Amino acid sequence: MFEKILHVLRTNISLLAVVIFAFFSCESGNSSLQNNDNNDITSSNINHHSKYLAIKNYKSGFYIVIKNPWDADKTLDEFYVFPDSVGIPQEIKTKRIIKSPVKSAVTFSSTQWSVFLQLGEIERVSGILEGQSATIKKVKALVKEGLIADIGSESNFDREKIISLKPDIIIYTPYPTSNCSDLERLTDALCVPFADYLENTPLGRAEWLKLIGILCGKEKEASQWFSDIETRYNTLKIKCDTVSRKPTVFSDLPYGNQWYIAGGSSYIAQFFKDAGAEYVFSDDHSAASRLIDPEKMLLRAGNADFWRVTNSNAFPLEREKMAAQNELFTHFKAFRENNIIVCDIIKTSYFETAQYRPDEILADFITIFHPEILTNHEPSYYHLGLK
Amino acid sequence: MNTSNKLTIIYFITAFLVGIALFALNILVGSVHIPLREALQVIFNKDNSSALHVIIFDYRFPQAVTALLSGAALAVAGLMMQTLFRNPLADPSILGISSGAGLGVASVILVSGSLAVIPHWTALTITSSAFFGAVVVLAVITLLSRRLNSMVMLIIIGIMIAYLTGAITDILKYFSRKEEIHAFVIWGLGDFSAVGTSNLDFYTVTIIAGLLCGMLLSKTLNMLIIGESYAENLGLNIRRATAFTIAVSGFLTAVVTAFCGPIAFLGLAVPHLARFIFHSSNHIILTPASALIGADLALACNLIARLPGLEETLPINAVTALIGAPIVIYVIFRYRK
Repeated sequence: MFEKILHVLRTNISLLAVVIFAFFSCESGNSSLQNNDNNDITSSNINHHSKYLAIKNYKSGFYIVIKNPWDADKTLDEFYVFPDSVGIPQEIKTKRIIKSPVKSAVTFSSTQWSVFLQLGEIERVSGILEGQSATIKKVKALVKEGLIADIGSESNFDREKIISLKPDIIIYTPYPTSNCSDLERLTDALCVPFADYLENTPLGRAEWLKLIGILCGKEKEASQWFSDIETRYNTLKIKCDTVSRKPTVFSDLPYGNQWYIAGGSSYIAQFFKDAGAEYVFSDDHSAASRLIDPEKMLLRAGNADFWRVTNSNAFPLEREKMAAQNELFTHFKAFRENNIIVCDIIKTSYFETAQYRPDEILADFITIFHPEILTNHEPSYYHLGLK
Repeated sequence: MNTSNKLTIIYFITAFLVGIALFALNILVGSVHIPLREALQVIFNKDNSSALHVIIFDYRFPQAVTALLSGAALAVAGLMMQTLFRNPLADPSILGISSGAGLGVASVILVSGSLAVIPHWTALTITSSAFFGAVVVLAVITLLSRRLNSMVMLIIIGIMIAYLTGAITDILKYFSRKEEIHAFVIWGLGDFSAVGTSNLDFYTVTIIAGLLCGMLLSKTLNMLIIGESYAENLGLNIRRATAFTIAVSGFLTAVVTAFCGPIAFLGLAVPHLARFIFHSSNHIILTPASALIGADLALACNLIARLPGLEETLPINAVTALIGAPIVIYVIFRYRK
């Protein structure tokens, strides 16, 4: 009896969800779903953590919506991904369609090409930005051999080179003023905005790997990969839920007198929270970073237990040099006690790999904040203390 | 003592007292609210471990002293440039010295940052590179000044050097990473807190030495302002005087820019304010007057940049420009009349 009621409820909820989804789809002025057979699109997303990415099944392909991070009412892009072996359904033939697996992709960020690499599909990447700065040996070698073209820097990318690569897709990092339409006009490629960096949760950012998985035709592998990350992350997080004492922590180094702090709802703040620490700016509800006066910083974070910093130089960060850079540092308790949590960006290939290893980062933080919880963990990204 | 002299003394005393008041406000007011009684307790209490003590003595005090000295230095440097070139819109950056400092800093932050040659951009590295860049330009200009007879030619060469160094800096910026560009932009916004307690003694000594040299040049400037031929008739060696004036003015600009970044407008606007308030073209009065008003204005700008209630510090360069621009507009209208 009870099971029957549950079944009826489930059916009705599913129906309700479909109706609500169809309603909102029809309401949306710029949605391409108006002319589609809505029954072919699943009501729920394949992804659950990313705010700006919505992946839905559509017949034997996928319907992808990239939401506009700066205007919640609009979408940044929407397109379909269909396996090359399958015919494109008649009703969407005029829509933006990508055939998977893509043969040639140009990527604008290391967080994009690194998924291709980890899925064993790096040969599909024909061009990357700042190829000379890649820290992963394999990619560096491919750039050196000319198998992957270095297309310049973000502010100065080589359009002619991109045209010569004849890419199927150009995966770019969207900004409020960025526009990829000129590249679409110059090439036959379809531009895919990859708004991963705007996600403010570790799992939300990592989940963007599913999109690349779909573009490579390796959606199942990508899905399994993410599922493993999610399971380990949540298992670790639960271990910290019951900690009796939460150490205080603050983050980042100033540029001269300009001290940017991560918002209380930011990506890094979420890590601190999940690792059983108290971020000193947790009362700030913004996800974005903002400026703070150094004297205010000293008042708020002067007695914090830990200080998390990143070092983007090839040389290790040293306390003496930090103090020479800004003598105010010596008045922070975390600095005096050398409770500085440091990540060497280049040495750890942080930009290329860390986004897809949030579980590992969480484990690093837990080892530092609560060593009694994880006793045998070897840190991958963050270590405690400077020379 | 005639009325004019009495007024001059009154103006000096007023400017001095305003400076003391502004200095005190710089110590007492900031983004962290410290009630007056508590601030006085911190100042006269020997407990130096509290955060408030650190804020007052290690952050606000060196910043206020730096603002005071920088304002005075830039104002005197600006006065010397305006007199030398007999151009009301000349300022310490007109000879490309600030741009030279900018190129020096750009070379360290943008080039070495990309190549990771220098482990970290320490304050000393940035200061040295800015100073080196400024001094190279200063040396070129000083040498040229001994060869060129025309001030107009010199000013054009100064502007050309500024374009040249600016262009190289732009190219470096164009090929740099976001983080490095950001660090460079931040340096360009100016910062009176960059000197800090550890460099304060050195900064104070060098600026005061430069200001004293500026004072000693007052008579020379008085002769230069009446025209080169008159000055020559009075026995002044024009080329040597020009070289000395450029060297002292350039030195003051180089030191301030090296430590605090390029600070706009103070050097341009303050000499006009000094002439306007003191009604004098005598540099024995104008030089200390400019130094005092420059110090006052810099302290006022530093106070505005750290307005209480604001968690952020406004960029000092923007604040000086906000105050300096109306003064420049006023000068343009005044000279038009």
